[in-house]
Amino acid sequence: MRKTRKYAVIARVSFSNALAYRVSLLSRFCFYTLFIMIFMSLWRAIYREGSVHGYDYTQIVWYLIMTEFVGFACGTGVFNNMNDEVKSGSIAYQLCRPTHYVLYQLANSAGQILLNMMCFGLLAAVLGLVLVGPLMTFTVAGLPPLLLSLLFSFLLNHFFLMLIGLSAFVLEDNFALFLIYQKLNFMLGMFLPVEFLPPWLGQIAENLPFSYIYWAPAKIFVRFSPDTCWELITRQGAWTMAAALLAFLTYRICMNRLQINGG
Amino acid sequence: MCKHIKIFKCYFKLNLASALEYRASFFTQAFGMALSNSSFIFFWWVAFGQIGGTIAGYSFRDVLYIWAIASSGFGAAHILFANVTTLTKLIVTGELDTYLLQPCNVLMNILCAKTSLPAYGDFLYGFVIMFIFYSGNPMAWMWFLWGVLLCGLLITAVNLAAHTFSFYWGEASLIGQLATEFMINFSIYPEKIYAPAVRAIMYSLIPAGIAVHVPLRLFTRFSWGTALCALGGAILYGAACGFFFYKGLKRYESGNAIVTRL
Amino acid sequence: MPVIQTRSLTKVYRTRVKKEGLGASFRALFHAEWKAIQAVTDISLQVEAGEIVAFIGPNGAGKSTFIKMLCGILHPTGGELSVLGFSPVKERRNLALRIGTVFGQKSQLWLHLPALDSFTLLAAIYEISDSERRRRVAELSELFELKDFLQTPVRKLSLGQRIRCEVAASLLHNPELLFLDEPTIGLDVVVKQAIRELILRRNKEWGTTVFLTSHDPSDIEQLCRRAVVIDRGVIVLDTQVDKLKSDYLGEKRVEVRFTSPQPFLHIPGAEVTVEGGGLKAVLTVNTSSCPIGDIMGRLSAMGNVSDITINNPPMEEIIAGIFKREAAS
Repeated sequence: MRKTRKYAVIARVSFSNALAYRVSLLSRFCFYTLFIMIFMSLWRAIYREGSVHGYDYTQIVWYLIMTEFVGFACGTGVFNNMNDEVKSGSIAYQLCRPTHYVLYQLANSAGQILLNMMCFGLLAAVLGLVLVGPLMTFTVAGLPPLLLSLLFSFLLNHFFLMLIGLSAFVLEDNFALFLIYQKLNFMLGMFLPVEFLPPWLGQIAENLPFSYIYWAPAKIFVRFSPDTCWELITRQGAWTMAAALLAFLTYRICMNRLQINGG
Repeated sequence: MCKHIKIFKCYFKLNLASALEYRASFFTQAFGMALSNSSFIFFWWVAFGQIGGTIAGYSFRDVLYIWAIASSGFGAAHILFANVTTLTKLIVTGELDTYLLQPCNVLMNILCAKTSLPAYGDFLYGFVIMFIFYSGNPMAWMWFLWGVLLCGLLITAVNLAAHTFSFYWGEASLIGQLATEFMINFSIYPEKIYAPAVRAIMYSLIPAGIAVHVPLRLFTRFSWGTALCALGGAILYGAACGFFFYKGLKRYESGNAIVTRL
Repeated sequence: MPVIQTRSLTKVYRTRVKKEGLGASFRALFHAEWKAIQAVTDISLQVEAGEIVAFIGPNGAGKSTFIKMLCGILHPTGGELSVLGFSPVKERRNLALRIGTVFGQKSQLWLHLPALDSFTLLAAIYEISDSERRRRVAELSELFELKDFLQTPVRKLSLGQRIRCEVAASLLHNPELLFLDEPTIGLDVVVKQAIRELILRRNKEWGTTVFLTSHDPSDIEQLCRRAVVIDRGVIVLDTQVDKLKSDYLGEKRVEVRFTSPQPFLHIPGAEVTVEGGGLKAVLTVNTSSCPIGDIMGRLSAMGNVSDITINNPPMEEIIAGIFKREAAS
């Protein structure tokens, strides 16, 4: 009991810490609104030319609001933090702490993300309602699976970022890896639904983990159907498990190497 | 004048040498920018794949053309004048002193003192697009280069004006960031996706229209009137921003900006 | 003609008063409240060519404001000002060609490049021709012993090497007037000494006028002939360093540790406080009346001394002493 409690405390502290950066939050609000407005204009122009695969205009705007929401809310510095700690060698000190580093980072991110989700959730809802009106296809029954899907999105993204951060042990310049990861996320779900991709690429995307961070929750949100929803969530869960296992394993291998080789 | 050209060259060489000290990071960052740009091109490729023809009056090739200008223009601006983005910091921390202590033109001294690594990737990216899609078209290249020039000048001017607000209000880096963000977003999408009121801004306050969309128009349907208006507008805008900066600098010289540190 | 001449120089900052809270910030956008801060008040000062002047005062006394006005970075609110015959406000660029500055932690050098590259840039800025530049760099690198690391990126240099490059950079254009703002801050004793000798040599051989601020009494003692003390924007004292030395700077603090308790200690010429039950004593000595060698001799003759350290009293205390005495007179 005590063991899990300390991670709850870490999360709470990081929550209140994030609360202190109100100006930064305000500026990110501006950018979020700006992005939504611009992409909305863009999709409006595209829909004027013809209809697009399976999503109507209102749905695509809400899709965007959701993916950007995930993007902004999950924006924590976990990659930078870990990268710095690995490169400066200060990660070695984690060995003498009574917390598990991977869990510590998770709890730390969770606190920030919780605050982000609350703030951006409100902004996203208001923006959507004002810009395109309510999303008729969404019902209260869709809420629990959506929240579950969002949880998996956050975890999957977090463990991926940790893995890339840990790669600093072997790669001199792992920032490239981070960029590739980020752009793959953009292309395979954040900018547009996987259904829009050419069929051959869509097939590939569905079998890669990247689309399950943005596409899955947004699709569950705007085109809710019980069957596809649980299939998506199952896949999200599976990828999350895999990423988490890999993160714990990599961390252990890295730390063992550190103890033997010494920094 | 001759002296300032010499200083300009010297800054460029030193900046490049400084960047090459970290070769690995230099290439990663340039690569990162190219990758980031590609993800947008990918978006357009998918969108045009769904729709075909034109979106808001622009064909896929048109979009590639404005992308090429915007990317190389931004790249050029940040290769040569990256320090403009740190102007707020220089003002707030009082580091502007160093530039004021030296016997040459203050504005030039500030602008040229820093380069940005990813900018090299941006700069090259536009040329790569041009080589792939417009290699055998000299007119396309001419207006592309003209666009890069104006775009580079205007983005620097927009940034300069935005950061100049720090002379008046203290920390105004958010205005700088927003101005950059607006300039970019007005440059990389067909202009007709925006409402008429927004388009008015694109030809006045944030002149992305002159920087990027006019060169495309000149390439497809040339007219002397448009060309001269664009050139005149750009020069006027640049001069106005320079004037605004020097007016703000007066406040620094008379000591207001430093008060925060007392 | 004096190198620096100011008459009733005054600087008032107008600063915005902002109250806490979002509402107050919002109101301030439309209706700002202003408050005047008097940074420099009515300073009249004259410095002749070839002088080395120390400018001393506590933090926030107006030292930086005054120097910045002399360089043309800040414009005075009132009074007259001429530096090397120029008006810093109107002829900043002409003036800049003829003055050199080392401003505390602000570096003129490019961190990632060899100092030599920075010299090339500075030469372009200060209108020095290529042949002239090569000659001066050779000269300075000999004088400052920079040869071994002129090609090394600045970030890899030790602090001492870096500051030597920094001072050399500020001398590249042979300035007639040199402003040094805390030039030896953070350096070890040996490097400090080297820097001081370089400044002195420059002053002797080239007649360069030096205007210096420092928190290190030794800087002032060893470099300057004249000291100007300022507080709250007003000159409190303008005197010869020799006089300052006998009155304030000559004081040394000798800390002595003993192997066996020494409850009573009497040494002529020293003010003694015994601490730690006689195992430690602090002697305050005025070296102008009692040479430090005498004190050492007496102490070592006692036979039970384990450790001796000699310190300058901190600048803040010296200034406080000056204020006390000036107020009394």
